[in-house]
Amino acid sequence: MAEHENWRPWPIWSAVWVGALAALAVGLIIGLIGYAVGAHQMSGPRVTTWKNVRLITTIFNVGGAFFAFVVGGWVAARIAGFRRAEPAMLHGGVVWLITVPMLMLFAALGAAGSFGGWYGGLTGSPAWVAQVPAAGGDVAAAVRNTALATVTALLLGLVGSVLGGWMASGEPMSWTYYRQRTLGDVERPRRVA
Amino acid sequence: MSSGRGASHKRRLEMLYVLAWLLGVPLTLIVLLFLLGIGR
Repeated sequence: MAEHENWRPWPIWSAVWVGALAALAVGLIIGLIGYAVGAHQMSGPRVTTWKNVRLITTIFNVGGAFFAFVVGGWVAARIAGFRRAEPAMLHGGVVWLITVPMLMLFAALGAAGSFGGWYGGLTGSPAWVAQVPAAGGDVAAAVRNTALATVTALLLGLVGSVLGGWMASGEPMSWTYYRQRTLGDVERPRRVA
Repeated sequence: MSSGRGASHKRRLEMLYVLAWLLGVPLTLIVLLFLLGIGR
């Protein structure tokens, strides 16, 4: 049990790794469910404009990116046993940090598509793949839209992992609680009515 | 630490905060993207 008083500011790596693996597993499951119910586009016109994206695709991509990392952050903070919000949220953030290069590795290996369509911007061309010159005028728009979707998914994952850690700490998730948390019962301002 | 009805009420309120965060963040983004013209 990591208490607030003797906690040193360094991540508990075993908890972080398990959280990252949990995030990847849940992201994979939600992404594959998305494919199974037909939310993601396997073929047809590539998504070069946002108009082509259907609502169910948006829901699955947003929900997958968010809830996968909520689970990751929650698992990490629960394993580390934090009772305070701050170290728990920090560990959620670290889970996200080490998941990003793992996702980039999956993207380089061609496996990031299973997580849903929005991580496409992580895919560069691996060095061992021969470069195919891209043709067509809307390639730039496609690259821009893919990058935008990837940024959205990644930032949503960061928000989710931090929220998951906060949730796992067991402290109330309201702003006003933290203004009075450190005060003792004596100095806590007393409500008149 | 209070007990009884007050504690139960507080617990329910904290559960409500958790639900509000977990549902509010993705729903806000989905509605925002929908309003921006994605998914129509």
